[in-house]
Amino acid sequence: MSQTENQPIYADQLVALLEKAVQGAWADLPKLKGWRFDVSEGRSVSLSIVDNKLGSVYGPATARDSLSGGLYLIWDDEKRSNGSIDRLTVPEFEMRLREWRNSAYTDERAPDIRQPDPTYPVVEMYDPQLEPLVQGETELLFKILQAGEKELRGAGGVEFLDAGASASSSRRFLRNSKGLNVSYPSSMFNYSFYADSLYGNGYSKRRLAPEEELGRVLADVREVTAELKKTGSFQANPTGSRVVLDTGLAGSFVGQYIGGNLSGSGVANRQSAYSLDDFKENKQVIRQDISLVIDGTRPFETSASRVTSEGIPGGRGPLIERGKLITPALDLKYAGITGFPPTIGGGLYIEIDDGGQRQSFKDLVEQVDNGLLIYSVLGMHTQDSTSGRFSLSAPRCLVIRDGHLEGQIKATISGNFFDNINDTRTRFGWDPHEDNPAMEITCQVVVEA
Amino acid sequence: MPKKLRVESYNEAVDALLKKADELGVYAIGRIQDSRGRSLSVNNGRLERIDTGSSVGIGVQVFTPEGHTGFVSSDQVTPESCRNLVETAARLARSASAFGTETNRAVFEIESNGKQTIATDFKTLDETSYDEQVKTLLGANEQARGYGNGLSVRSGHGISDPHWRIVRSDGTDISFDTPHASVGMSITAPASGGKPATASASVSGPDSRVLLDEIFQERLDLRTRKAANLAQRLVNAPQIKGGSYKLVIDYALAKGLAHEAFGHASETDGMETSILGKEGIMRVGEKMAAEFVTITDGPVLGDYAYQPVSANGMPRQTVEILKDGVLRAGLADLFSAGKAGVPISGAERIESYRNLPLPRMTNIRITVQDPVKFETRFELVTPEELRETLLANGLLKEGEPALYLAGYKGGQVNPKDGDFVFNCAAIYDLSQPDLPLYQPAIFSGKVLAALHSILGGLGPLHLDAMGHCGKGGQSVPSSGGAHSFVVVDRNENVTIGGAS
Repeated sequence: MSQTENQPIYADQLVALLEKAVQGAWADLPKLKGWRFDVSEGRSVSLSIVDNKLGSVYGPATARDSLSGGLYLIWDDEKRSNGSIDRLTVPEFEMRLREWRNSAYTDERAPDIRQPDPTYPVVEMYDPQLEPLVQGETELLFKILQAGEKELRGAGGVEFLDAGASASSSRRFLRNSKGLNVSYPSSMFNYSFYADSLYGNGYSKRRLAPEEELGRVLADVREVTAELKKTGSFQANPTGSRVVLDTGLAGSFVGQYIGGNLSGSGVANRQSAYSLDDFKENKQVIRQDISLVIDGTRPFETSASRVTSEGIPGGRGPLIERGKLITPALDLKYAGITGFPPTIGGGLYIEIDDGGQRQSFKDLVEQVDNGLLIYSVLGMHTQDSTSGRFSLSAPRCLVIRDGHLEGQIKATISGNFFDNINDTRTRFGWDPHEDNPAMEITCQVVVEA
Repeated sequence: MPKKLRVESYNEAVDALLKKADELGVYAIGRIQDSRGRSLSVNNGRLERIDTGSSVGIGVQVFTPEGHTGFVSSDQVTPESCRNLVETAARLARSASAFGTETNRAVFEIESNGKQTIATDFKTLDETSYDEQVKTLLGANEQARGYGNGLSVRSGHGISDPHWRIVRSDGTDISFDTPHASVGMSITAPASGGKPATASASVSGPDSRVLLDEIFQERLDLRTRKAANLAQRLVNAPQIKGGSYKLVIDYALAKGLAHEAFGHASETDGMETSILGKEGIMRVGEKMAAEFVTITDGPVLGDYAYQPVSANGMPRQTVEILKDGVLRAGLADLFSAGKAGVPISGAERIESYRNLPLPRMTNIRITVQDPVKFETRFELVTPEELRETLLANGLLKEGEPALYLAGYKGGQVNPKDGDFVFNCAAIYDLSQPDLPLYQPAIFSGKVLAALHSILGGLGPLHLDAMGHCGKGGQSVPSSGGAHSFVVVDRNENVTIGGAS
């Protein structure tokens, strides 16, 4: 998999070939005027339990090596090309170069190659402790899954368990014709358990999990699954019912309906709920205690980012601040078109100005006198984010009565998330193990048979 | 003339792989993929970008004589790398056995499918002109923007031409290609007093003809006009009252019903927990729907989801899963067919060489016996004409609560408990002669309840409802269809979400 010490690294070989194209080494092709590429080379290992079977044909011990990335070229005649990079790009460079030239197109608004920035933030993204695991000492993956099997199937009463554990390690190479040269390692470590097709939880970060984390995850899966097996009943309120969206689901709603409308291309092309003027005027679109930030600086988080593939340094910054639109999420092209600065890389996080009185998820649920707690829905990917409307099936909702969980029902929920996120009744609750809060909203509920 | 497949140049790597497996005393399956692709996007009259991509790699799955398995993949397809891959996979399989992993010896019980090449003769990317593609896509985008005031239109065109080679220790060595292409239009109507709304249209097929051929162009144009009209009307459309109704669904939604509500449950890898299984055995012979309903899955040459050979080198069968209302067969892979009590149907598919095969659909369709004759071209059928035809044929009574759901926007299923959902693009109230339009709403229910409630179909078969299936985290092309329209009776286990 990895390069030996005697071999030039792949990125250096590619740089040398691109520079030859800049010099005009292929006389029948125009010269290259500029280039950039972003390539990662690495290995991952994984193991699964599928329908109670550990390491079966559908989830065996697996090792994957890969080298992949993308490339952007500017030719002498100002045409642009976008291509993919794989292991054969270097040995087949001339053939690929001709294909890239064939696909070159004119785009007056396409960006130039970006000058390197003085610094790029150093964010911890690599845990060397994972390296032996990635290189083949996979015993830990077996132990994690076997522990889950014992805890959930043995003591926890789970009939069918699906689970997975994986680790990966890679090195990223980001180069451009103006001197950008950023290279760094990163790693990932994940495990998850999904019980009886009802509920799942797991761990996903760029470093090995603390030992106690596995016990916490398994206890959560066991307890919530047991609750979801009890039968409940619920009478929907015709004027709207109180519904608590669990942390992950609340994040999905925010990503789909708010994040989905912040894309620079969507905004600039009138395919978003928000117009470019809305951003220029800092229009208030959500409640004034809510902000939405991009943050790539959180160490060892999956969202950690030192630099985007276009060379924009990582960092932290708001897209919506105190309910007001600040900037769309912009690549270099749409930054040029809209006049806003390009957006840093990272994850999307909700921040609530609660005056230091952060409410816990537990308290949020306990304060609901008659409502539902929903962990997952079916159909989110089919929704139209521009309208804010949602109509979703929630096959497993927990009934909350006087702050207590009282069994599960099946329901469909519908409403408009733009209204929800502006509604003064909407409340948030934080789980210390999650990055984004749970949300309590009011929406239409139809209880299914 | 059939294409020359690029994967046929890897003979030395294949020989090295099989020889090494033999030396180590393991059974190996090698899956080579050599994929090329091209995509174009146009936004509001401007060429946004062109992307080209290529990817070559191999996945190697080995089995010890006891049936323990290990899997490795790499983007290097050389004799040396293949030998290393087999060694690593064998080591993983053997070390896994110490942890009591599940064994499966099905590979030792099948016969070789020999050496074959099954190549299509569809256009290659080298034979497709970029300039022509760009010009035509820009033209289609421009035309779509003219179908209303202030419409914003995003157009995309993608072509993928993957070549595959599956080799096994038993001498099977089959090469084939699975070309597919599509053109899509996403149309956003401005808010104008309501909230903006988006509707879409698409056509699919095997190559660039989906964009460049006049027949596809006309079809896409008719669908685009309809989508543009719908997006503009949806801006101020109200929300439907939720509940259970008699439903009339178009063929794309019927494909969604077949795919989400039934197809996944018939995949044999999940038979131990599927609602179509009992103690791991498929409930073959049981009545699951009205006696006039049949559900079939199988590859269709030229279709978006065409695949003639499975990812384990088994011929892909066309399977009547449900025949005349009775469960007949499953979508069965090599590894789970026997346990589920059904024959292998070669249903294994993979997204890429990096993935493990899972049984899944290609082109799935619902057919009914003696459908109502309805010859109006599907794209030109109006809700009014549909209502009149339903009334005239006794499938709808005047004033009966019933909804017409148009346009498929995707779905999801949990085959273990039979819950499915899918979303439509629009809802018309058939109980009202003026056919008021409502916002899209989720259509959810229980698999068997929905199938038992099918009352009939109208019009000819259409099999080009395209999409992607994401089972197991792997995205593969899917398609299918039904008669122009399918009628589903009111059932309390099938619900439309909406106002309470």
